[in-house]
Amino acid sequence: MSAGSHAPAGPLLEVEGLVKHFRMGGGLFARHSGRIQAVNGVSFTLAAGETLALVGESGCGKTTAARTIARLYRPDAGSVRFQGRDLAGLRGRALKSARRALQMVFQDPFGSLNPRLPVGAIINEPLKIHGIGTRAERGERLARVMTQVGLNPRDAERYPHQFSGGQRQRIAIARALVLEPELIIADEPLSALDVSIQSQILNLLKDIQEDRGLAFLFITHDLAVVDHFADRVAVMYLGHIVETARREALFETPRHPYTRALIDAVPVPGGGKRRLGTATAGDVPSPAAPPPGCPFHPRCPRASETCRRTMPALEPRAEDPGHRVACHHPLEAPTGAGGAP
Amino acid sequence: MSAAGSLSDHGGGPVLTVDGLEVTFPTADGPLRAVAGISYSIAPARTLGVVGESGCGKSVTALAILGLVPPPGRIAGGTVWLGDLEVTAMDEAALTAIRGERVSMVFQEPMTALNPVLTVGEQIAEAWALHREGSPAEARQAALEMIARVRIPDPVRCFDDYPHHLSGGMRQRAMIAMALACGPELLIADEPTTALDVTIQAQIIELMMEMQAEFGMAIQFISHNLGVVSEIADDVMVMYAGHIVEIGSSAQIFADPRHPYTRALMETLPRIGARVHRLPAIPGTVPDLGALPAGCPFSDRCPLADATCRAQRPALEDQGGGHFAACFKAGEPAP
Repeated sequence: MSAGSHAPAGPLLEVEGLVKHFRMGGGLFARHSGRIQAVNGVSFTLAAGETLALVGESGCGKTTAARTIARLYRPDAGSVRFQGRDLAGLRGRALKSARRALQMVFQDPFGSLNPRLPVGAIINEPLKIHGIGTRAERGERLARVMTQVGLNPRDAERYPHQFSGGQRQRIAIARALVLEPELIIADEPLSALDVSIQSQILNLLKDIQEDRGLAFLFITHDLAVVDHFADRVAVMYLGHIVETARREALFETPRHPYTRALIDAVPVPGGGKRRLGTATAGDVPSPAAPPPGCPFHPRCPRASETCRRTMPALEPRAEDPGHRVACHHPLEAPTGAGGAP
Repeated sequence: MSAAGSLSDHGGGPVLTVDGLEVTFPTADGPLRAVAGISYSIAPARTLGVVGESGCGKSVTALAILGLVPPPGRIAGGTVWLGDLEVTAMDEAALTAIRGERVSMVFQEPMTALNPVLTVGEQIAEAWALHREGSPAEARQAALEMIARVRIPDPVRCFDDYPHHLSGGMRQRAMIAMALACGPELLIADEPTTALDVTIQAQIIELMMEMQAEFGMAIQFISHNLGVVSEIADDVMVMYAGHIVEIGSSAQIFADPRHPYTRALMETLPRIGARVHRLPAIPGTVPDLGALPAGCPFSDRCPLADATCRAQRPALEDQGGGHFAACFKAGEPAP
């Protein structure tokens, strides 16, 4: 494991009551104005070396949560304790140094790499920014990290456009690794890649994690990737975590009707034609105008009057305290006596 | 199904016949063959899923069927037939007359295909009026009916909405309403659910299946997602570097894939409940059309490739029951 010199007593990352809203311009043609409630009180912890997947559909707040945790956005409320220090209140140099062990990898390996710099300079830029090592030491680190991500160190003088999408994502991963972080926040790192390249990058991330004992906060919409890669999963809907559990528990005994709907919506190759009438109805509501009560109630087959009025709290299950669900009428285990209203 | 394969029992010939289609793009190093001489057909009311990674030629094939290959690209060989009309022999006026009337297309991102300054209803009415005689009131009525048929709640309100007012799922429904307004016999859908969330994707797949049952059109459904294709397609065609590498019924392709590329694509996917430690990855990168191997286009990434594969290009061979694969080692287990 890699607790490092900081030796935090608690978890590596502890997010509590995180809130991030955006003000929406009420322009001439705008139907809505007001606030987009992107992240609405999100709490979770992440241990060193662990992978937590934040999963959900567009507008659920997973990307905003990730970016607020990395302090690319300033939180409106809540705390983000990383290695025991609250990033939420830090600014400038103190933030820069506190954030050193936390790196991000983005979805778009085209937009996130400076096209005017050779890849060696891109990968080593974080070392320069943090003033780490001599020129020679930086050169050694560059060669080591390029080799680790499956790039040839001799390509350090080439430019991003000379690489394929998969190789560019390797460059972005190398840049995240060069500071030897404790935590990598990866925001949909596979979405822009072809199927045959996705598995290469997924295997690479797994290798890196096993080698270095890194923790991952993995943001994705792809449940199959989650089941392959994550230790724990948090399912988000309209700014809230609606269910969180160990991977096995979440996939084998989902308790929230939304989690069930998400799993059932994933098309299975070779699973035969889709059965009509099984899709969950309705659209994801706008985070600018979330429904009252449980955010999922307009689409939920189990919704009752209570659900329309009161937001359920994220409560641990008696039989598995690590499995928490925010639902007034959670699904029961297949053998249990149903809990529907 | 493939040109040699079976037709459906709906009688008559196929809705679409593609015969030896070749599409090239000029480059400084000579023409790139984006589509390298492919042949297949689709029977009425059937859905052909077209699967492949970027650069495989699946989208260019679709554009060629509509006579929309972007210049300087061009159809360099082969023919495309809609029923007994030869599309590849048509001039622009004739093509305009059949687009929307006999064949329509829906795209991945409806925002780029819909006009942002016209209301949704106006655009559907316009698509109808292009090919139908009728008053503006009749066009409006036809548009309202189409909006209702694609199950958009509150059709009257939707008629007056602009595309940006709609959610991604509703926009795709509006796109489908526009495409089906004149009852075409072929609908080409290019990654129509790729930009959508999974729960919305499931709704759109169901909608397309319901629309096919109502309107009876054939569908060419293009996707990189094997799961989505499996949910909607009757037949599946796998493309790689401009070639058809395998084609057959959905059951044949998914239960008994014969081409090493098809197999590798299926094995490399993470699946819920599979719990493998490492995914079997396909080595190398998606092919560069300007630097393809001399023989089989997949030979430089194929675990089974030998000297023959590197020297000669395999043709589609019958694997039985209308299932074809272009591989010298078809069906051999991976080493």
